[in-house]
Amino acid sequence: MTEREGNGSSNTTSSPPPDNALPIIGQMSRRTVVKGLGAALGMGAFAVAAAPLLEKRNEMSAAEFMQRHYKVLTDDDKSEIFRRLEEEAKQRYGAEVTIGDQRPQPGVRFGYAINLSLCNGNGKCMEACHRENNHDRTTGQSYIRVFEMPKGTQDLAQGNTGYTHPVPQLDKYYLPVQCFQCDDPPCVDVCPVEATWQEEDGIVVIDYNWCIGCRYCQAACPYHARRFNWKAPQIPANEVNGDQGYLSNRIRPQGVVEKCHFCLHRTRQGRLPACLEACPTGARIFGNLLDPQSTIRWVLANKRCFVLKEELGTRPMMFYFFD
Amino acid sequence: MNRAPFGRSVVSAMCGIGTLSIAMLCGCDTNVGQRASATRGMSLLEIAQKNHELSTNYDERWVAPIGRGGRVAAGIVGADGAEITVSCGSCHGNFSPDASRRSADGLKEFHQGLHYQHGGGQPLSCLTCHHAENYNRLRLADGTPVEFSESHMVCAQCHSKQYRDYEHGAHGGAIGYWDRSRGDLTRKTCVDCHDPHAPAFPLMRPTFKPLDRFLNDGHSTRAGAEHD
Repeated sequence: MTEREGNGSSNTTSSPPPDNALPIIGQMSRRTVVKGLGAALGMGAFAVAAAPLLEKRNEMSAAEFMQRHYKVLTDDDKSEIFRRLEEEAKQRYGAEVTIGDQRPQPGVRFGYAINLSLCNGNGKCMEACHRENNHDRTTGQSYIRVFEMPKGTQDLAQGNTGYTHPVPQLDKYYLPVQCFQCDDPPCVDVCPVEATWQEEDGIVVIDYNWCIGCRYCQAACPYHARRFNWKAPQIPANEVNGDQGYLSNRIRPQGVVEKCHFCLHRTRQGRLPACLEACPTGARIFGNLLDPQSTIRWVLANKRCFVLKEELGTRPMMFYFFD
Repeated sequence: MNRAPFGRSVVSAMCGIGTLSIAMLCGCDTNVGQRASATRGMSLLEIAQKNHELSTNYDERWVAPIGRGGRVAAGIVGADGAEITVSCGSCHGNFSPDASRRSADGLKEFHQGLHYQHGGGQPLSCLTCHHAENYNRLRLADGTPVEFSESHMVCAQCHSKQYRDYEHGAHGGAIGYWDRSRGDLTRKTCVDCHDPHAPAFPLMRPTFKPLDRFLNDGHSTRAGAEHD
């Protein structure tokens, strides 16, 4: 934090100080006005905050409430649940979807690499993720954030994701960040209900129906890779991606955490992730770490790869390199 | 030799009424493909300018500046609605090559407006890559003819590191299956992304931004504040 403040102070000379002050409403009645205002705001905020809960309780069916953890579901349970979820998608979104149960393939361990010399920050990966993974259209959600970084640092606090100017800028490099599927994932350790876990191919998954929305995992992730569904995603029927997986891109319910899953509904069927296919610079490389002939193995053997925040011991499966 | 040694007949054909018949004689066909639709009705100069506008949507950027695969668009549309193309050699066969030419500047008839920036301070001659005796082919430095479909072999002579990475799957991206036992993998080739006459990757404008709570809400002193 001290580092960040240091940078902030150097920036504040050029930008105006943030306007944190409350509006002053006359000297005589300030205290009462503020008290009244506070009470009104509090009640209003409570009503707004409580509304989704009431709404959610109405929406939850008995079957959903009684549903057990993914790992103890039988095949019959799964097919029943998937059918229910498909019907829900039909009712709520008007879309025909197929929810599959893609399992890890034996002998496969996924790795991902990004060539930061090629990435120019154009953001096509974020857009592809947004569409592939049925993200909320109103917020433009995506599992990926591309940071525009000053050269010479890996400190994400110095990065900026809001740039809109033509890219690349010569004095910057561009750092796409998403879930790294860490080999020692802190998010999994902190989950109080075991709603998130790591599978054999390295992908850290979430049972969205088991997640209680406590957001401990979000706090634990050093890469800010997890997102919270503050509301149910809004997606027009014709934009819903019907190729879905229970643990991956099915439309998430409100109040649960989500994150990148290396497009497991695609990659466990041998396909490449959507963000890789969308990258116009060819910066992304994906493959099986256990296959000595794979592209990802060649990159690891021939490029000087690094991971973010290596000192934390999370052992990410997302590798960066410069040419 | 300083006059533009290029296809007078095709240029007049593009402007005139006898276009179709002349283009047919030159051996037209329709293999420019779907990219032609984006440039239909545009002059060659407009097409060249379009190629070098700041790209906002990569997919719509028409990469190859004039021709593709040894054929050029004649600027007209056939009866079946497809762009008519002419092989390079059909015009170049009538003119002697100019080995000293290193840009399109001063050309009076064809390839006008071609943005050429390849080779840094000492631009390459057209005939570094194009085959002087057969304009339907490219050439290697030792004179070996190379089909346009094998153009990456020409690029690889200088850009060996990129070619090595490409051969190992680490350059150029891919679409399809990482597991080749379950499906095909489609690779791009050099000129799908790099305009061979101006190969530097163009500037792009980011078109998609997640609306984060911490962006553009006045709380952050950094995000988006210093730019735009």
